[in-house]
Amino acid sequence: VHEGDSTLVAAAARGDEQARRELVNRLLGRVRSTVMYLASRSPDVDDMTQRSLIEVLGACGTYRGESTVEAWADRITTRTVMRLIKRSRLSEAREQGVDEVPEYPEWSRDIQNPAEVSDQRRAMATLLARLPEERREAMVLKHVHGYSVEEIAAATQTKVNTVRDRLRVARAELRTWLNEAPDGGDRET
Amino acid sequence: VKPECERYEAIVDAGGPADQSAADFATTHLAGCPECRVLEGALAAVALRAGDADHFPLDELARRRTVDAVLREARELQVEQQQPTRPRRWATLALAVAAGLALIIGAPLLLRQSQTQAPTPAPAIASAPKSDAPKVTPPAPVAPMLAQVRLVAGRDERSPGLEIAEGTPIQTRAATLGLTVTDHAWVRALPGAEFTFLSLRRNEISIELRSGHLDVQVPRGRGIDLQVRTPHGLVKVIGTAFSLNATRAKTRLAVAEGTVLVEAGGRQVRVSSGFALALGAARPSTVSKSELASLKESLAQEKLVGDGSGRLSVTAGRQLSIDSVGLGSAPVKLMVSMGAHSVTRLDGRGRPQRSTAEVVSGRESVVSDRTKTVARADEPQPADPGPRASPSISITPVPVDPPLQTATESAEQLLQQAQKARTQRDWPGAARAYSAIIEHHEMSAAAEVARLSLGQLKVDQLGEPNQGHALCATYIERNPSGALVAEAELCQIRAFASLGEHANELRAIDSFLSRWPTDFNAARLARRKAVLQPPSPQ
Repeated sequence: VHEGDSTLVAAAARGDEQARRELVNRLLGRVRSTVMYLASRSPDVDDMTQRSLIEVLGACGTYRGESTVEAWADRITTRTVMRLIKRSRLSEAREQGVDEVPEYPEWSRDIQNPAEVSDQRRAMATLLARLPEERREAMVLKHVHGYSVEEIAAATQTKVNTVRDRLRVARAELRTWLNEAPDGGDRET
Repeated sequence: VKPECERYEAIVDAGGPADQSAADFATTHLAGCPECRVLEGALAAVALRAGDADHFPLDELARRRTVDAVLREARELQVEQQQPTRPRRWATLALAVAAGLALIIGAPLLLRQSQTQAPTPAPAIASAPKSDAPKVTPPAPVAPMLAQVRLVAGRDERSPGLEIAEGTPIQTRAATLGLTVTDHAWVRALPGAEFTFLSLRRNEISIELRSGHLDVQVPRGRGIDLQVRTPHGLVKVIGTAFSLNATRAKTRLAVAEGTVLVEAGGRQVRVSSGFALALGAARPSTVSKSELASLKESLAQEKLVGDGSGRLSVTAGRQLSIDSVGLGSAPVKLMVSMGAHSVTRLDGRGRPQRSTAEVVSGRESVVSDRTKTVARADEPQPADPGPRASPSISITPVPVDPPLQTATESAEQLLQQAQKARTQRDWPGAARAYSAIIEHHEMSAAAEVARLSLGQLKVDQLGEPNQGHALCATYIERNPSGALVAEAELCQIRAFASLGEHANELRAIDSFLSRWPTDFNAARLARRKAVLQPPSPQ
């Protein structure tokens, strides 16, 4: 049981303004990162972030302390954003929109420079946005939040084999994109 | 995907190797498979680890605003949930709207007909008897919101960021004010407008326009009921963009997008996109093409669209400069700090037009006041943008030629300086630090790394491919079996490409492919080679 987290969230649930502010401050970066990976193509990233945080505040009464407050917020954020994406028909925009990778980073796990890591993350957010919603959700839960395949299946109410399949196909797509130059010429090298 | 790669992925999906043989396989496979290494690197970058959760950080101001907005909205939501069912004020009108549905649908048609026919009065809808309206309990008071000044163009005592409470009379005098309410509804008041926000409640905004011109934009699907009352009637928004001009004699309404509902003299008319209505005048009128085009332009404007971290996309059709930094005329992505920036663009005759852009995190910011075109001789002209090596441009002010304490600094300290400068996209600063390493620590290993890094900077960021190529050549010559030779050769290939020396580029690619056929870049280089290579004769 995560006692410190439970105390904080319980205070937030009672309406303690200081606890609520502390909770939002603590989760803002994580929630926003999740939103960016799930919906970087949306013009409403900040709106989705705010709505996710409002959902988190509204759900404080349901927190049981069985996981960290971050993991608990991850689930709420993913659920909220996927609902908003479906509602706003982002999938249609995905088919029609332009999806250039903003920067062309080096794809190496050895990169430590914060600016280059930041470029990698932005580029990956753009590439993830190319994936269909279900695959994107599975990839974010697996590789951004570190869920197991079984946990993803439970969270998305899908069969384990379906999740495996979504991950496999998504990674195959990512492999292709990662080996492509985004602009087809200028950065061939 | 190769079977070995799939096996490796299956191990990842299972949460790690189950036994020693699987662990050995994973290690060996990763070492020998560049594709899996790349994928692993990319996926590792996005993993949210404890303490490293802010992958897309906001600046302090944006962060504070977001936290405040969340807490405020959550509080309002809580208050609403604690209230008894809160009937929408539209409910009282439901019966009247239903009764007049046929007339409402026919309203645009009638308006169209008015272009060719004799003056026709606007369709009337009988108001529903009050006794039929459902009895409603007055809602408990909800905390009012504030309108925020986002943009000031012209001379005005107000500045961006000022918050305005409901009931405060606003006179724009000589300035144009841009205001947002609930972060979604956008109101632009032209000089000479007099208005008051009568109500600033969540999803319910009411404005009294006594005189002057307002442009209003409310996005669809936000559930915001916005209404503007003028001396001649009431205009209700149904998710749209429109402008209102109120004078003593009449109020003129022009609709750019969507539909608005107008109530005047006990009548309701729905006005669709492309139409106008003069309240207080003898008959409805249509919008001229030029008026509509002007309205659409003023509402759409050139937008700086932020993603919440200061990165902006600018769709510039003409020469554009921000804070005296020339950006050329092509669409660009750039980095600017939050706050007000001066924007200059050249008009069709090459005269600079000055304006102000308020850049607000995560929200679109509007460049306005494009009509001020007077260029004084002493005003600085926008700089010639020149060629750009990268689509990303940082216009964060960088101190000119800051002092560099090279004499006492170690190679490590200078490398850190270079890294820091790169993080801030201060390419000249990074180049100075690398040059200092090469100059003052010539015999160190850091000097070799700095030489290559400087070469890469010159090729990729500073537009000096010749010098960059020479630095890479020196690196290769001094370190023929160095760990970064492949990187240096790649940099040379890029230099040739920048210089347009395609024959040399082709030779360098051939050389690279023969030495490192399995390198991660090999596939792309092969494609580039195919592009460069002339087709063989039949």
